[in-house]
Amino acid sequence: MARLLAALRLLWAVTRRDLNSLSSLGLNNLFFCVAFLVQGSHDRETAFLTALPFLLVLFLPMLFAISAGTLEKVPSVRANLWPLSPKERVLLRAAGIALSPAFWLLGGVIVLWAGVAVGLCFIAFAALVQLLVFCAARVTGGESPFRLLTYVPRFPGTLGGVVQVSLRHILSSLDFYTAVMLSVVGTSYRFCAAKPQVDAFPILALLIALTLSTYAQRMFGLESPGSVARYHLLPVAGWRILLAKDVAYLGVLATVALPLGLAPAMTFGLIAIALGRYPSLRQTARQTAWRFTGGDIRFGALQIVFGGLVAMGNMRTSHWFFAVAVGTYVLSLIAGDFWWNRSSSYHR
Amino acid sequence: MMIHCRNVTKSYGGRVAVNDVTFTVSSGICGLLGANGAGKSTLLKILTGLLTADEGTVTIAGHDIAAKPAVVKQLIGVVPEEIGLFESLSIAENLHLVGPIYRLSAKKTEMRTSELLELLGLSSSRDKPVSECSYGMRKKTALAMALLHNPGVLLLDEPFEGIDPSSSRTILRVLRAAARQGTAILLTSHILPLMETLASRVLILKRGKLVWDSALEPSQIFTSETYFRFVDDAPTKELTWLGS
Repeated sequence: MARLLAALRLLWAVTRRDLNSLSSLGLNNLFFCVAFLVQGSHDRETAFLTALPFLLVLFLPMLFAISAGTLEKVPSVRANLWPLSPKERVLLRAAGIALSPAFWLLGGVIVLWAGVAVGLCFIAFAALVQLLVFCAARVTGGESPFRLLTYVPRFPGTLGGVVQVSLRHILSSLDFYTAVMLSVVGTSYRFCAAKPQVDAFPILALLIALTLSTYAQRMFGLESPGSVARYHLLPVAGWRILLAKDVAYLGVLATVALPLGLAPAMTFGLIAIALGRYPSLRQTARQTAWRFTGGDIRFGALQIVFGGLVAMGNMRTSHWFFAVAVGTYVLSLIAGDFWWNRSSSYHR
Repeated sequence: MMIHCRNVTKSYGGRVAVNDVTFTVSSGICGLLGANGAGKSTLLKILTGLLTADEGTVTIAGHDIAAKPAVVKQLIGVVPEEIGLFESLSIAENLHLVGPIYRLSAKKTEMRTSELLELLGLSSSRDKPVSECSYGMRKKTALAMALLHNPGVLLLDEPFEGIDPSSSRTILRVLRAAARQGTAILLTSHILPLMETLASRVLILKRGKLVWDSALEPSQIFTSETYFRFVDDAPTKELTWLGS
């Protein structure tokens, strides 16, 4: 038990250190979706039951993300060398969740919205997910079971390889799979419902863009420090690397949102990239594959507010709003090139 | 091609990592030695454009790295300290990514990739994801990436670290052949016997300062003893509790 407590103290020290900045809270923009739903509901219980299937889609991957968040602050090689028994490791993983700020925020929102009983169910469910993650890691030996991504081909052009790398990264984040789930649900509604509401399609497309928007803050989050250095060693302007990465991102977004509404999704996506440019290049938040992307609340709020406004403008009034999004994006590309050229940007 | 480094200084906070270093390498193999933290990797990062010097200038083949970074990066091949591979790609895909950026056609990239991987004993692993490769395989892949576009200058940070003996011999042969063709090579290593035989010139850094340059003292041949003369001796204190 003393060893377990020592390990927990270390995890807490690492978490507390990271709490010094808001960006380390590691929140996904989906959190804002949840907050929006909470604020918008009048009858709490009815709203909760109505939104339950939707929340499951959002919460399930989020719980997986939370489950690993704290423990992965310690290098796995080091953590595996700690002299802990298998039972202590299970306890450590279960206790790890209690150290996650995201868990308490999410739990707090649920308790406020749906009451203590549902909040306790959430904690039990989270503990179950912890156990599942632990067991899955034991079965697969820690290796990723998703080797299908190796089939993502190289794209044509000088920077086709950069697009290939970026696509593999996007496809290994849970944000993408949540967006796909939303797209499948929305498309089914569009083509299978007896009288689908046409107004709902662009809103769903926006939701898909919002689901992918946190990734736009962490375009290099899944790159190793070495590969970031490699990008800087290539004889090519920084903005071209950024453009190649953006093309991959927008390609994914367009594909997923296509059945529901391309224009609002792309408008939102362009703004999300533009506002995510600074944290992408200047913040040092490494991400983990097969987890939700952890963003910066401040930039997330900006993405949602401005992206939402411009996309709504595009939907309701004029296509000039799309031009505004393109203009904002181009400005961010110029700024990105400037940040790229500042040598310290490679130090992640 | 020539590497020219003049009065280069770099500090991190208040600590001077590289202190007024000046040297020129016109051709051949030049070894850059020093203890951990002496400033070797920082200096290499400045030479490759990954870091900007606080003071001083670096030119490669007459081009200032600060003024024309893209031109210089086209001329150099680098094995960086972090190795610098794309983990989600296979060994061959890593080379295919960089080939076209160095203006090689797809056909030429593939041809050179096959030759390099065969030479370095990586042919059978060419489709293996880098994330599953051993340290030595990664290092060899990084070396293949550095050689792919036939650069005029090679800047290699610990190219022999983690490499098996037979591959080391191959790399030695490749580097010597490149040097004979006029490639300027600057490499760091902690393997002193290797440096004795490989490097035609040796630079020793101590706490960021260039304390010995064999080109300035042609009467002295570099040996391991030369290194220990300039670098602090390791502490000899014994740990009485170890193994008790």
